Order: sequence, then C-alpha cells, then structure tokens
Amino acid sequence: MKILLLLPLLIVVSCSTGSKKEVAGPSSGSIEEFSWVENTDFNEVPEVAFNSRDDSFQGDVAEIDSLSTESLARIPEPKLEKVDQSADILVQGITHCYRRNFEEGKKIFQDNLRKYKSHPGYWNMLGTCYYLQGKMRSALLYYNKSRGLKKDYAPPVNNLGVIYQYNGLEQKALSAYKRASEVGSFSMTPMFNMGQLYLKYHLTSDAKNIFSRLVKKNATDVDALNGLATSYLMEGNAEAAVSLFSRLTSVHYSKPQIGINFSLALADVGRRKDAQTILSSINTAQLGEYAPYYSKVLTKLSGASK
Amino acid sequence: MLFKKLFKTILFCALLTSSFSSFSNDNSRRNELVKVIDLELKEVTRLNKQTRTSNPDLLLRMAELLLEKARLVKELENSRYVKLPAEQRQKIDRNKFFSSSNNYFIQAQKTCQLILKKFPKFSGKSDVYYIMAYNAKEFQQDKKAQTYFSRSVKSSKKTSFTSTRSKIALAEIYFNQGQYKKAIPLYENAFRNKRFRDKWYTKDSVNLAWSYYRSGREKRAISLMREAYKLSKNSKYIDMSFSIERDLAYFYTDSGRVDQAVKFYKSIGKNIASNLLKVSTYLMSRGKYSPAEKTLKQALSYKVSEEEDIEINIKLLNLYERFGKYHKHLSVAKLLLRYYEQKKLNGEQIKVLEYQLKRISGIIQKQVNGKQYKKQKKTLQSKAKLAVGYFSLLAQYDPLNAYKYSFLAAETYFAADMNNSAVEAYSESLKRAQDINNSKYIKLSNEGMMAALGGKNISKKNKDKYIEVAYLNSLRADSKSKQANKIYQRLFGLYFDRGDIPSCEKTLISYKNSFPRNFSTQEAMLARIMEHHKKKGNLNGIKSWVLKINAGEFKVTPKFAKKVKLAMLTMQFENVEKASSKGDKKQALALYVHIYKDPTSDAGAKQNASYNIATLFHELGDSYRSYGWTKRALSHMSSRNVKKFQGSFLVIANGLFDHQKSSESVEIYSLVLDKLCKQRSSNKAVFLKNAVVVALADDQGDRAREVLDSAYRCNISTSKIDELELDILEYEIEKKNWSSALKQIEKLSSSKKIYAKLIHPLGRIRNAYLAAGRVSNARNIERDILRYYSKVRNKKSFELEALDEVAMIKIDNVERRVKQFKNIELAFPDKKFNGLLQKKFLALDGLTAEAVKTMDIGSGKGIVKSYKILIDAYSHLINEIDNFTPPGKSKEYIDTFKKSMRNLIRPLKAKTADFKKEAVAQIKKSKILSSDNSAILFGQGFVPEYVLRNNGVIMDRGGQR
Repeated sequence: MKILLLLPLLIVVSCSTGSKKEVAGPSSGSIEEFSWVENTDFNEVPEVAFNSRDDSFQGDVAEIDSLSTESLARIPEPKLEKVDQSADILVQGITHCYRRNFEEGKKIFQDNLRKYKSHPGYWNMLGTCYYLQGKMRSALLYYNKSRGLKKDYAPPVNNLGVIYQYNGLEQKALSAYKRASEVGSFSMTPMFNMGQLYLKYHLTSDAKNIFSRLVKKNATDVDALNGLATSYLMEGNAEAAVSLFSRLTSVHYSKPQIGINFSLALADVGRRKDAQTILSSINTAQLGEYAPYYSKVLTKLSGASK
Repeated sequence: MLFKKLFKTILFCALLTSSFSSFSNDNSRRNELVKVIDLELKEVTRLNKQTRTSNPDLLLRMAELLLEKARLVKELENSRYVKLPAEQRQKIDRNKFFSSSNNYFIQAQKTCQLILKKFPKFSGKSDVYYIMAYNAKEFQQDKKAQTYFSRSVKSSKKTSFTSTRSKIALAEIYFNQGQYKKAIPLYENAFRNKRFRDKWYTKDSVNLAWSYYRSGREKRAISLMREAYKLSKNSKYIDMSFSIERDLAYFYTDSGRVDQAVKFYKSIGKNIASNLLKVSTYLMSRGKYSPAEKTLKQALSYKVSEEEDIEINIKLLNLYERFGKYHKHLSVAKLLLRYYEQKKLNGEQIKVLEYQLKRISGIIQKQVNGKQYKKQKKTLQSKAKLAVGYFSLLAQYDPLNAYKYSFLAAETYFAADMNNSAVEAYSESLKRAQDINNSKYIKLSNEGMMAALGGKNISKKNKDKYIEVAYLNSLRADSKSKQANKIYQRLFGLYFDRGDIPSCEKTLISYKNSFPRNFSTQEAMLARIMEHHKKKGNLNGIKSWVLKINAGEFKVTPKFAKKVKLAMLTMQFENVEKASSKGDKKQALALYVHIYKDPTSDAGAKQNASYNIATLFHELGDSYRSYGWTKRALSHMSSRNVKKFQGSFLVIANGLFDHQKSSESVEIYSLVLDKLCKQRSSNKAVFLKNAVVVALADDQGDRAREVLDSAYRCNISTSKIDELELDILEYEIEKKNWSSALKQIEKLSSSKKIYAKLIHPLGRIRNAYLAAGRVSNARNIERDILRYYSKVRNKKSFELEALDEVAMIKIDNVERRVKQFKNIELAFPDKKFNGLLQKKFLALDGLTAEAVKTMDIGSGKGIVKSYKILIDAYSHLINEIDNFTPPGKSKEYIDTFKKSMRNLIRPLKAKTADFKKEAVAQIKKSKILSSDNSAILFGQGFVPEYVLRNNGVIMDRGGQR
C-alpha cells in the first residue's frame, strides 16, 4: 500500500519537472539533470588552512584606524570600494556585505564553502554578513560555528558580545569582549568595545587604560582619541582632554560624539568661547541619540556663561 | 500223452494269443478261439467225468483251457470296456463288469489246486505250478507267481520244456523286479537248451542283455543285444529290432561310446537323430544327465529336419531344466523361440516352451530376490542377467504382456543392485506401459526407475538420461503426496545442476501449486534461482520474481521477500558500485538516477538510489539537488531505515544550513525527525533542536512552532523540549509579540525547573508594559517574577539578567519606602520632633534592611541602585536634621539643639561615606555597568557622558600580532 501511494507522488514530481522544460543548472531546474557534473568535481577540494598570523586586513585599509587590521566596521564606504577588489575571496564577500550587497556577499561565501568549510574566519565573516543584514539569530549560529572550529579565535567571541550588546545585555557583552581580548591578546576590537562600555558607565580608569593602548597603537585613531579624551574629561582632567581633542580636526569636532565633549572640556579649562564655537559647529539636524546630551551641555555652557 | 502234446500245442497257441493280444484287436478271432477252447473244454470235462476225476492230466488240461478262456474273455471284456464313454466307465463296477473272466480264472485256479491236493505226486506238477504262476501273474500277484514259477522249476526236469519256460518266466519276474543277478542264471540256464528256444528268444535275450548291463557287464550285454538284433531279422523270432536299436544306442552312449552308437545306427541305415533322441529320453529317465545331453547334442549333429531339431531342442530344454543348466536352457529357449516365431512349433511344443520360459525365469528371479546370493555379487548379477534374458524372451513370446516382462526384468536388475541396467529396463517397461496406457505399470515402472536412480553406483550418464523423465512421470501420476514433494525438489535440483533455470522456474511454479503452504521449500528453491540470476547478472530474472512477489502471485515470508528484494537491489547497485570503485562517480550518479527512474524498480531500489544520489550531490556541494534527492529518499524510507542513515541525513541537513539553505535544512531536519519520532534515537533531540533553531534564525516562527508541537509525541526529554520552548519565547519577545510570549510562559510555567529561565523574559515584557503605561499588567508580571524567584531554591541558577529584573522590582519597594521616609517631616515641639525623628530612623532602618536584602539578590545593577538609594536617603536625613532649626527658641537652645543634632548625624555621615565607598569598590571590582554609576562616582551634579551610538564594533579578523 505504501508503494502504491508513493508511486503517484513520484509521477507527479517527474511530470511537473518535465513539463516545465526548465534549463537545469546547479541550483535550478530538474534535480535529475546534472550533465555539467564531471568526475573531477568529486575530487576533494583543497581547503584553505586558517593561519592566525595572516588573519588581518592588509594594505591601505589597515592603516585607517587602530582597529582596521581586524575590522571593516569603521571603514568608510569609499575605502570599502577598494577593499571590494581584494584578491582575498573572503574579503570580497564581507566587503559586499558591509556595502549591503548581501546577496552577492553571501553567494561568494556559498560558492567557496568547500574551500573554507573548516576555516573559522569564513564562518565568522558569514555570521557578520547576517548580522549586518539584521539577522541576529543566523549570525549567532554562524559565529558559534566559527567558535566551534577554533575556541580561542577572538572575532566570533567579540561578535557574540556585539550581539549581546545589541540585545541590551551589556554585562554579558562585556564578559564576551573580555573573553575575546583574553583569547586574542593582540586584538584591539574587543578592547575598544570594552572601553566604550566602560566609558558609557563612567568606569573611567578602565576606559582610560584601554583607549591609551589604542592611541598608542595609532595616534590618529579618532575613536581612540575621543575615548581617551572623554575618560580624562570624566575624571575631571579637562586639560588633558582638551589636549587630546586638539589632535583632531574640525571635521571631527562637528560630529556630536566628539564635538559635545570637546566643547565641555574647553569650557572646563575656561575656554568658554572656544567651547561655544565647537558646540555650535555641530550639525544639530543630525544629533540623533546625542540630542538630549547636547541639550544638557548647551544648558550647562549657557548657564556658565551667564 | 496224446492229450499232453495237444494240450501243449493249444496252450502255447493260447499263450501266444494272450501274450500278444495287444497286437490283435480282432474280437471275432477271440470269439473263434473261445469256441475252440469251449469245444475242447467240453470234451475234456466229459472225459474227466467219465474217469471220475482220476486222471490228473485231464484236470491239468481243464485248468489250462479255463485259464486260456479266462484270458480271451477278459480281452473281450477289455475291448468293450475301452469302447465305453469315460463317464460311464467311471460309474461302472469293475468287479461286476469283469466277473465273467474272473470266474474262469478262479475255476482254473481251483482246478489246479484240486490236482495238487488229489495228486500230490503228479508228474506234471510243474505244469500245474506253471499254470498257477501265470494265473497269479494275471491277478498281479507277483509274489505268488514267483513262488509258483520257482516250484515249477524245482518240480520239473531241468531240460524239460516247462522248466525252461518257468525259468524264463521267473527270470522275467526278477528282471522286472530289478533283481538282475537272480534273473541272469535263470535266463542262461533256459537258453542252454536250444531245443525249446522259441520266437521269444529275442525278447528274452534283450532282457538278459539288460540284466548284464545293469550288472556292469556292458560288453556281454552289447554282444547279446547285437545277437538278438541279428535274430530279430529272422522271421522265426519276434522282431525286437526296434527296441534293440534304442537299447543298444543306450548301452553305447551310457558307457561313453556315443560314436559307437552312431556307427551302429549308420551301419543299420537308421535315422540317427531320432534314435539318439529315444536314447536320450531313456537316459534322462534314468537320471543320466551328461550322457543324455551328449546324446542329444549328437542327435543335433545328425538331425535331418527342422522337426527333429525342434524335438531335440525341446528335449534339451527339459533336460537343462531338470538339471538346472539355465544358461544352456536359455540358449535353447532362444532357438526354440525363433521356431515359435516362425510358427514351426506344434501346440505341445509351444506349451513346453512357454512353461519352460515362465518356470525358469520365475526360479531365477526368486533366487535373485532371495537371500542366498546376496553376498555373492557376481553370481547374483549373473543370475539377474539370466532372468532378464528369460524375461526378454517372454516379452518376445508374449508381446501383449511385454510391459510386464520388461518390468520384471527391471525389478530383477534392481534386486541385484544393478541399478544402471535396472533404470534402462524400467525405462523400457515404462515405454511399453505407456504405449498401451497401462497406468498401473506406468506408475510401477516410474517408481522403480526412481528407486534405481537413487540407488548405488548409478552412472552419471544414466542419471542424466533417465532421471528427468522419471521425475516428470512420477509427478504426472501424483503431484501432491509426500513423495511428490521430494521429487519436485529433486527435479528442481536436477534442472538447476544443468543450468536449466527456465525449467527450474516452471518446477517451482508447479511445486507452489501442489504445495502452496510449504513456504520454506518454495523459498529455498527461489533462493537458488535468485542466486543463479545474481551470478549471471540477470537482473530481469530477479525482477520478474520480485514483481510476482509484490503482486502477491507468489507468496513468501516477509523475511524472504526482503531478502529477494535485497538481492535485486544488490544487483541493481552492483554496476554503480563498480563505477564508484573506479572513481567514475558521474557514471554512478547516472546509474542511480536510471535505477530511480526505472519503472520496475521497487520502493527499496528507489530508496537506495535516491539516498545515494543525495549523498553524491552533497559530496559535490550541490545543495539544491542534495536537498531534492534527500526529500525523495526520505519519502521512500521506512522509519527504521531513516534511523539507520540518520547520521548521514544530519550531515546533509547541516550541509544545507552551511550552504545558507535554512528553510531547506529545516525541512530535512523536521522530515527526519518525523520519521525517527517513534524510534529510539538520541539524535531526535538534535534534529528537533536544529529544526527549531534554524527555523527561528530564518524568521520562520510558525514553522518552528509547528515542528516543536509535533515533537511532543516523539518521546524527547522534557528538558530539551523546554529549552526550545524558551527559544521560541525569546523569539516572541524579540518580535514584541507580548501576548504570545505570555502564553508561552504560561505553558512553560508548568515545569518548576524552568522558573529560573522565565524571569528575564518576564522582566522584558514587564518593562515593555511599563513603557507602554500598562502598569497593572506590569504589576501582575512582577508578582509572577517574584513568585518564580522565591520558588527556585538554587539562586545561583539565575542568570545575571534575571537577577537584575528581580532586583529592580525589589528596588521599587525600597524606593516606595524612601518616598514614605522622605514624607516624614521633622517638626517641633520637642516631643513631636523626637517622635518624628524616631519614626524617620525606624523608616531608615527599614529601607536600609530592604536595600541590603535587595543587594543580596546579587544583581550588579541592583547593588549599585541600592547603594544610590541608601546614600540618597541617608544624605536626605543628614541634611534634614542638619538644616532643622527649632522655631521660636532661644539662641542658646538652638545652639545646644544643633550641637546635639551634629552628634546625631555624625554616624549617619560615616555610614553614608561607607555606602559610597562600598559602592565604588563594587562597581570597579565587578565592572558593574549601571546607569547609577555616575551618581555614585561623581555625585548628583553634571557629569560628562559618553553616548554609545553604534553599539559594539564587529570584528572580522584576529588582527596583527
């Protein structure tokens, strides 16, 4: 009886596939068609071995900031366009994702799965692709796969922290960053992430240590300088803060994340005029989540001036 | 004396007449003689009366005449008696019928007795005794006759006529009694007196010659016989040449001088063969086998006609039968059979031939069947061949019953363990029985043939030649018996050994029809057929049986059906395996697809093919086809088979996920789970988890729900299912499906073990409600949170986020207390102030205790917030007391009051400083990320902020070392 039931089902399948007259291809058409397959296709595809010494971005992109050897997250779009042309297929894939060409990016990963199936970097980047697309759960699964392949690989651990942070679990995120910085003692990104959290919650001493290291690594790193300067500012060392903020340019001052605290530091050292100039250079139309803080600082500076 | 002479003349005439009565059948002549005797008897009687019985000679003459008359009358009576019909003869009273002659014999006897009584010294007494001796002889009273002849010899003169005749008569009695030594001297004495030598001398000589021969005096016997033969040519003597020719030949042959006998017959110009034949008859009657055979063989040499040949051979046949010379008997029988076939045997001869053939064949067959020769194989086989020779002659003799004789021949061979010959003979009898459609003998012959074929030493040639026919015939006659069961199997084996598989298959079908319930044998036969097809690579052969089995035409046990299907599968996949082993995986793939699409392939084949195709495409990294074929394979597979290959399916489904084919992987995970549902497998939980987790990752909440719901019947551990229910709860919260989330919590709340995990989700819902102003709903959730928290004994099992939620609810209580505490305002007069102050301190103690209790929960955020509240409350009281000035009091009073109040607030300040110190230490040590940090660390004034805009920074690579 089971066979009798099965047969019609099969006929339906074969009829339906036959009648459409689809041109079969590796990922479309009749599943019974595979003319393009060659015996050599069955040969074991040599896998690209993971080498932690080579696991960093190279070239111009690596010089952009203190994190750019390990993260493309803060690379501006025009620079990403260059990275897109990298010979490294994984870099190509992740760059597409950062540029929000998710399908292209994911396809690259798909096409190269056999080469990279045991490569923790591959799965980490694939996870990031999903993260960037907002598919946190998928990202989490691929990050975990990456971790499964190499337990002491910092990127997926850091990225799990990012997802925790995204979900409001900052304490958990902090633990993840900590763990990531432990397993990847040379990795800067988890440090940076920790530093940001410390700053947010006024753990200035811890933040200062981290941003100092980052600034030491790259003295022009805007975010690192900003973090270190803010740490000093919170501690009440406005002069040190002003000194650090001063290494930046006016382009940076117009950004609320830098300009607000710089103006506050300037005010604290008595340069009220400069403080107001900097504060007014900030484009208030693009304050976003900085708006309440901007308002508070503005009030403080205005009150002080009175 | 005159009478004496006359008497003797008449007497001897009468004696002559009586002695040779057989030669004269003339009753009228007898009557004439009786009349003559009556005349003389009348005259003699008259004279006797005249002499008043005083003359013994007359009485003697009367006795002689009465005796002669008695003989003649008896001959007449005999003549009449013979002419009577047989039935009448049987009914006749012989005494009465022969009474007339008997009276004369008695009268003669009485007369002689009278003479001897009345005239004891009578000189003619020897004649009286002579008459009495003859009379006694007539009544077969040989002893009396012998006595009277002896008395006659004694009482007579040695050279007298009566003495001579009596001696001859007595000699004849002795001769007839076989007392040759007594007869010889009597004959010799009698013959010495040549005066009384009569024409019977030749006959008496013959007797004497025989007496000599019997006494071992052959030469004398032959000599006398030759003399008697010569005299027989003389008319004076009775012609005994006929007997002498025979007897003389006998003497010669018996003494080993057959040549002499032949010479003798030649010399007298007689038919040698016929005479030798007579001799042989005589020899045989004497038990002289060897001379008789010799004689007959000589006779054959001198036969002059076919009749003689036949006659001699008939004799030989009898001879050989009597003396057990069966081989020679058979040769003679063959010869005679030819004559029979040429219709040259007369009725008697035919009877003899038939009798001999049947008798001897019967005897020999009995010997073969008996125990006597069982251990003498050669003899036994020789006898069997002999018997068969007879049966074949009988078959020729009686063609209508030839089938019987052929069968008997076969049986004889079989009894002698000559199975090869037996088989041939059975085949012959079978053919003959079939020709006349004799079912009994068809059956018997066939059974015999099979028995012989199953016997010892049967040659391969014969087995090959006859066994099939035997089996087929046997089955034709009986196809349902126990025996038939065996025969079917043997026939099958025969065909199989010959490689004649079509016949094997026919046999199997016939067997099935005859023994439909004997599955084990049917299956054993079928197994051999399958094995053959398998060896020959004949897939179609196997398929045809699989189709029969599938269609129910051929019923087998499920186990066997499985085996057969497996055999087909093995064959179907053999080429694929070859291709695979050679590394030609494309070819293997093509063959698998071919098997799958082949309409004759059964579900098992399709299952295997589709499974293998799926794995090959998986190997290729073609997730599209790997998925499609896996689905097909699963559709064909039983749960047990899915269980068998669950590891592979897991790899394939994982591969699909790795290929970012989330929904496809979910489908495979769930399909496999569905198949494994009722099986024992630890992988069920893995398939379930993967299906749910990947479905949620792919934003297929409903699909995840559906899979999880269906898994409840699969006997998967509750803890594992609960874990997935929690995942769905998380998903619902992420999606802000608050009602669904609460329902999910309600569902999960049935398990106490899960309480710890419910708090954080509940907290998130609560926060959402609070944010939306749904305070009442939030309060309900708070109660649930606290209830679950209180019911979990192991507080360490809570996650940090859960503790934060609990702490925040508890903090609300503390804050409410703080509010109440702050609402108490100090006021004068003194008594009231003291009361209020006391109340404030009590409230402070209460909220402090509550805050400490909240700190004990272990939430970092809770601890920092608690410290913040305590610092705030304590600072509030310090400030309130410090700033309070009693109204309407003197300066001195106020100074004293303030002084005492300063003493009162000092410990409070110390406590506040401690709280701050502890809080800072906790924040720094535990890196507590609390929004209350700034208040603790920097006080309540303006504090610079770091607004974290872009969350964490993603890390793509490990970075430079």
